[in-house]
Amino acid sequence: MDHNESPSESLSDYRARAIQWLARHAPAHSGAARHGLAFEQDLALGRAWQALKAQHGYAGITLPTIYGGAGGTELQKLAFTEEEMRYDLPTVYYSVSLSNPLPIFLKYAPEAMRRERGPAALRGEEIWCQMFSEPGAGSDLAALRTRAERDTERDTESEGAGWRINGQKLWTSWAQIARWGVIVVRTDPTVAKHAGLSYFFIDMQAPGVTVRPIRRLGGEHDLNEVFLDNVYVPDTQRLGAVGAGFRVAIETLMIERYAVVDESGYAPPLEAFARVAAGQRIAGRSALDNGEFRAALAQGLVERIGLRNIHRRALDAMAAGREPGPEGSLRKLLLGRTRQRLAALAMDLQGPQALQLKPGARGGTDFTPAWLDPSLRIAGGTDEVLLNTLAERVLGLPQDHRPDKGKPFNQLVAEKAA
Amino acid sequence: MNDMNDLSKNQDDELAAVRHEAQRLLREQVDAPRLEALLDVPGSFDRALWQLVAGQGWPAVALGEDQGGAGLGWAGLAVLQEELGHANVALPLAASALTLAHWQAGSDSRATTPHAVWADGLRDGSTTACLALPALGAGLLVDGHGVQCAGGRLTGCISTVAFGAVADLALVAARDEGGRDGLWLLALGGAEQAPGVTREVVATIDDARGVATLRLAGAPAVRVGDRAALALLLDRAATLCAFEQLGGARASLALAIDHAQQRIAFGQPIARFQAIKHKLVEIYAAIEIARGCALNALAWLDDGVDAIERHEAAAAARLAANHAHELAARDCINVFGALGVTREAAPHRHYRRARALALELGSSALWRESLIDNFLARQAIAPTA
Repeated sequence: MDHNESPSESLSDYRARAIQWLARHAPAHSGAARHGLAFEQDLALGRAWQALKAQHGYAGITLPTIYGGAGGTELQKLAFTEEEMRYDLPTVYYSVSLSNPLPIFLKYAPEAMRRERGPAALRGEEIWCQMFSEPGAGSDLAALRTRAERDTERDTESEGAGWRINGQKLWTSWAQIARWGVIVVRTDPTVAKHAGLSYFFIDMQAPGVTVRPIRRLGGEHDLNEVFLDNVYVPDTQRLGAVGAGFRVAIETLMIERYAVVDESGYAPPLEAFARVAAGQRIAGRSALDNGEFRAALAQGLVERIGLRNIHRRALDAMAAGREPGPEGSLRKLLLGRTRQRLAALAMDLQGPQALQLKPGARGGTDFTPAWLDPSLRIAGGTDEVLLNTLAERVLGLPQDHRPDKGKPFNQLVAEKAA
Repeated sequence: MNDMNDLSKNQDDELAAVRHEAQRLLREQVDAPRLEALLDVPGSFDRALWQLVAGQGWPAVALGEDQGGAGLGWAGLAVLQEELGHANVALPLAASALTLAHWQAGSDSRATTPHAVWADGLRDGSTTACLALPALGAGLLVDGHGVQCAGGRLTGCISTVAFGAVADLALVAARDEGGRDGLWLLALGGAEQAPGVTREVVATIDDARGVATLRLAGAPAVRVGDRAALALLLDRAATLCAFEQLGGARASLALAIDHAQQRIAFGQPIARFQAIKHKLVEIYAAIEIARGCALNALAWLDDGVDAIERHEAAAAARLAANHAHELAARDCINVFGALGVTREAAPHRHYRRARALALELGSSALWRESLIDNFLARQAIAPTA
């Protein structure tokens, strides 16, 4: 165990130690080690990597040690994540589990449950999913219709009255491999839509939970829909007060004070974009001389330099105990667009051969699969919703017209039906 | 570590004080009639305002305290540039400070020339300078049809030089008898023109900038730098200009936000329409990228840093600032609607200034080519097909 570093270890020493550790262990879990692996094999490799991280103090870096975390700082987590992202590691299976559901569970669950579930999740044995969106509730999360009602028949002395959940959740990442899931449901339809929600965690193996995979355009295996048919959940698995579900949901999404998005948006970097052009000719001239290529590369470079400076200032602010500025939230918005635009242009430069989908090609290293996955512009808030949020929170502009504001949820449903 | 933090915190505090003071002075002095009057006369220059800020020590803000400066370096100059841009005020602050820096660094004979007095004038603001860079039509450092130097005398034409109509000195990019590019310092003369110098005031889209075309016919000049110095000057000028543009873009965004919240249409402030909200956030995003690039470039301005890295940083700062300034200025006009196309409202002044600043130091097209060539060379990327 090499995570008993001295408490005064500087951030640069921490990073240097992480770089060394990754150089020793990451190659056996990334790159060539993943080529040709089937889903189950890659997942097993991912579990092994997570277990190794837990063993060496790199799992749940900011979470308390009594729950299996490393008890470190936000800056240490950012440093490790930045260095880890340099390898093509199978971390995606834990991307949701450890970022949002587990920390919120550790905040609100009873102590005994925390001590049991926390270490199991951080060692990679138990994966958590997050059931928020529904067929009728995406960006407008509070419009969700999955309901939980008190189960009066199963009112025991030890647990009190539990709940029965009925409804459907959508776009649930990794539900098919999840052992546990957090969920927002409607417990009171007679009040305004935000006020009638409650937040629980459920056993994904409980009777009545059915997970059905959703085929994505690029063939990724992450998304599912989850059907909940009279699923019983004890009241001890409620996180936060009855009626406080919306607030806990927002808190879940805000857990990462400052999230790291890969600076190429998980697509090949600008250097790779330029190398594609170097290998192509257009109308008898090198594609390196193509005006559209040069304009796009220049725009990408400018954006990267600007975002690197914004990132560095955010880290400086956090190191000085200040909040990073709101400009950090531009990162996902800008990189999502850039990823898609550059990937399409890289394909243009190569001509029809770029239409080939090479077996095993990944979005991080190949422009065609990167183009085939536009989800960075959707997940975690569509571009359009982010623009609204920035307009309202950062620029102080008024909220959009919201005709449903303040009306009881069951009246909205009636209006829609009428 | 702690000492360094304290040092940087002290400097941050001093810069904040300089910014605050600059904002106060500009708010008190500059109003719409003052700015509009300048736009009515080609070759205008707000000399009274220049004298006022010179009295506050602005031209020497970057210099060490031993030289009578505020000791704030390029960062101090950047703060003032940003506030000038925000107030839509055109002054030869960056041009004069850069001329002084290159004059002091570049000429061994300066102490013995009669021109040594120039340094004192540039420091206290009694002397002003403009940057005359004829090469910018063809390439950042390509000087095919520009100014020639023979026997210490400059001949050639430099068109549309900002502050060329009013400055006392010009820092000129030229090529000598041996085909070497470099920088020369030239006296333009005050009321009576210096020998061999003709200034032709030209009407432009932004007449507050004292623009003139300079015709040189054997005008005596002092060599102050080589091609590397010219490259350094361009990168420094682009970076300081980027801060002025950043300030201008911030001003346009603030005008647009203000107007969108006041203006009622269809029963609500137009700031509530997504068409407007999203437009304003796009400007905000462009500004923050421009700020990131400008701050990054600022760290590379001292002499002796790697010229290739410095140029990448400066070119990115220029491109990002050109984009943010123009986007903010043109979309601000749209948010204002018909009022935006009049001289009754402020947006047109930023619209003019954005275009002027985007061209004076070379267009985006030129800097983009330079950025990409620089990047491909650094990465050793060449055609393989």
